[in-house]
Amino acid sequence: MSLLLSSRKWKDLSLLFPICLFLGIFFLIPLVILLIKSVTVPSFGLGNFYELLATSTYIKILGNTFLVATLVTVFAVLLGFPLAWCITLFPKGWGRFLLNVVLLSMWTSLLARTYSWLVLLQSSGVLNKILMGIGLIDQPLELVHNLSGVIIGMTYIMIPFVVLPLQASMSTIDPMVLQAASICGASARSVFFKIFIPLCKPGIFSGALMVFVMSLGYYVTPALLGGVSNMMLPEFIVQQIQNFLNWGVASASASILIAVTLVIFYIYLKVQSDSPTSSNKGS
Amino acid sequence: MLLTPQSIGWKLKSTLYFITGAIASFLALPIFFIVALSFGSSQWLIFPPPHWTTKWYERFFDNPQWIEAALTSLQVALMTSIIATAIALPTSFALVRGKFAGRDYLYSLFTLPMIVPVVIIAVATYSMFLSLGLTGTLVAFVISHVIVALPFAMISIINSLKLFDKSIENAAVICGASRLEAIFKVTFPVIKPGIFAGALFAFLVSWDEVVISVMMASPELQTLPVKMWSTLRQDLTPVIAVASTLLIFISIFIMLVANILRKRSL
Amino acid sequence: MNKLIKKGALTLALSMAVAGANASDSMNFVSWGGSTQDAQQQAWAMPFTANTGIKVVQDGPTDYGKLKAMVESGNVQWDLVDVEADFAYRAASEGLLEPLDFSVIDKTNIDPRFVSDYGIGSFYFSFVLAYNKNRLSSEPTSWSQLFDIENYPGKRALYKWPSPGVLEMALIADGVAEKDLYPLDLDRAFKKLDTIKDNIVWWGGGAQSQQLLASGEASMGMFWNGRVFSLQEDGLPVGVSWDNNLVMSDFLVIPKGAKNKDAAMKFLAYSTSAQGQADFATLTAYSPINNESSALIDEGLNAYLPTSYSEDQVSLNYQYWAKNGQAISSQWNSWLLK
Repeated sequence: MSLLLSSRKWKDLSLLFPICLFLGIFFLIPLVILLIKSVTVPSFGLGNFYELLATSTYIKILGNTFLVATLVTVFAVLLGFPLAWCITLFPKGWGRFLLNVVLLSMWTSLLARTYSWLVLLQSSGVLNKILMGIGLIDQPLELVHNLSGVIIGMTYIMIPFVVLPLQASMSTIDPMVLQAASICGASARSVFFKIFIPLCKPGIFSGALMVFVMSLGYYVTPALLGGVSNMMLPEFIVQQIQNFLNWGVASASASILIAVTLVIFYIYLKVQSDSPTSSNKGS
Repeated sequence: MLLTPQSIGWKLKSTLYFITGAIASFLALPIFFIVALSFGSSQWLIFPPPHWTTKWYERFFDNPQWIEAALTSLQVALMTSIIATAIALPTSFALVRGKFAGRDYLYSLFTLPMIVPVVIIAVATYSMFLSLGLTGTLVAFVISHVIVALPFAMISIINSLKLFDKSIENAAVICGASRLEAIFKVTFPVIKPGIFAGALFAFLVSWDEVVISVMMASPELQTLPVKMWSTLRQDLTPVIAVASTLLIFISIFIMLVANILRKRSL
Repeated sequence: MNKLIKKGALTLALSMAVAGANASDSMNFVSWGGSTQDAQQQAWAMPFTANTGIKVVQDGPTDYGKLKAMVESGNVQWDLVDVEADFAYRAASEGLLEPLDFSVIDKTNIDPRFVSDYGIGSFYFSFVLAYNKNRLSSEPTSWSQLFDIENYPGKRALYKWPSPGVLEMALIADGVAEKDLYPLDLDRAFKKLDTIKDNIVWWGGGAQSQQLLASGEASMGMFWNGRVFSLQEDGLPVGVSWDNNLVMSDFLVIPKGAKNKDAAMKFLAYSTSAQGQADFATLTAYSPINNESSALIDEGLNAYLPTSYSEDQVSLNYQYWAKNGQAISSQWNSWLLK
């Protein structure tokens, strides 16, 4: 019996062979070589880490990074949920149209969409002109080169990454389950919160996680739509690598980001009842 | 209830229509705006422009580099999507079905390429490809794109596999199918949307990748985002809006064709 | 001029097609892309190839991280690179560059401000005060007015990176004399910038700076003079003040271990010659670093070149920046995030 189990285990592990080989050679080895520079460049020791943590600047940048990622994740889920729901609900007409809009937005170049937002949001931009035209505001709003610019631009880009996994998990939910609950006398509200949302949780979880970690490392959109006072970590790293060739500090800050993210991930795994891998049906 | 149109009241239905309509306009707004920008005469993206023009379209078609870049992008993205999905599929099965310890930790290990800032990945892989003498080749583009695309494909497939009720597959096995047969004939068709979404994500990650691609590019080989990025940095010319507009129309065209094919097959 | 550039692009495409046939008579030139590189291609590479038969393959944009990675890996694919002056000094001190061979390159007529052992100026430019006339009722004439929000309302566009320019500008506006600028009094500069901090929009590249000024998003700011020139050429309502214009330059450098070092040295010699510099200035309104070039430039253009405003010039000290840039940048970041 134990022999059987272990051969089963080997079979499972052999499925992981391609990914381990690929990521090992092309990702982990080069990454480790680079990250080692955080303690060897310019001289051996923890000097780079002292330099980063001694000033409040780096902590603020790290804080900004997580703040933006959190806000973007929340907004993307809030806006993505009704879309995914409608796409599942009306697969032919309206839902089909919504799905096409989502796909169309994903297919449009990221750089182009970001630039489009820049022109839309700036104080002499279209949005401000319209708002002033209809008399809602008399002074142009500052929508870009600050936190709101980054949040609008990034939420926009992340919505499809919530909608698609969420819709995929919604479409596997058996409508009869909800029907049954309602027949048993549950109100629409409690069916929604007690049954529908929990069933959607894996989809929300994977979408939100994807958006959150993507946002942490995002460079292009914050660099174009953000202001410098809410600089995020990737931009700081670019500055270190590009302007000052300071790979030591750059790798040190990347190591800290990776460590902090993994800790958060770990806590999340402990708190969250669903694990990201194990099935919530059966086992 | 809540998942079939008949079962929800008109109040909820109209609220949903209204909310999703607003979100859809939010998604569509910048796209239509790009189309308008591509016809504007102002090089400096002043809007509304002094007058309308098609001169940026002439510029675009005068320069063969744009078309070449688009073809390279397509090639790289297709290969990335196929390879990433092929690696992610067995991984997902092992992580979801496997009975060994530490699966959650392996999962977070495999999502590392999403967490590590792209700049760091770019510099690290660039150094490696330099020492291998592979920079500026298709191989370098595809490998580096697969690294960042893999987690997307994996998360998507895992997500749909988790929801799949394994007892259905077991039933097929009990009825005489081999395990592999059951996986191909029963499991795959059900999790197809997840696999498809994963492949699509991988494609898009590659299609839109800027930071790594700028590193990998050479004068002879560059992708569309590289061409756009270098154009944006120096000259904010609306030729970029032209390129985007054409891409938008290509994707609308693809969607229309897909819809027609779907109707035929029904 | 546009036609010329188009012709340049065509030759570029052609030269790319034949490049690589023989490595010894071809070299890679790397610059920032866009109209600057088009002009370099046309003013330098085309005549150089015609004279010597050495093909010049255009690559880019310049990327310092990429350059360092190449040198460290020993597989250097770039032969001649256009970089910012302070970077040229820093890279030289880190051992990333080849020393120049002054038996091939004639430096006798080159402005000594733009010569070092490891690099020579490719052109020089000025940070100037420029403004959108539609946004202001009166025209500003000095940097101190950039800090006068009351009389000159609107946003100020400033260069985002901690590099030579903004801090010096703030100190000059605060009344510091040119000779007392260095070492920089950072506290004083930041205090001055604090007075307009909420009104600053930062630009990260030339195209973005033009967009801010042209759209009126910023009413005034500090800009590269060539970028302002092309806005004016386009007929936009943009004015400029040359008072205390701040001189900065790009350098041409050869990365250590470049495969076609000798060809790069020859190309560098041609680029910095009187003719090469004059042709480039004519196309871009950036100034030649060769003292003999002015005579070869059309009279009408001179009004737009920094060369004509030399008595109002303040030279930025890039050697100081090469040494202290890292330390300044950490203070700069902490000021920004305050």
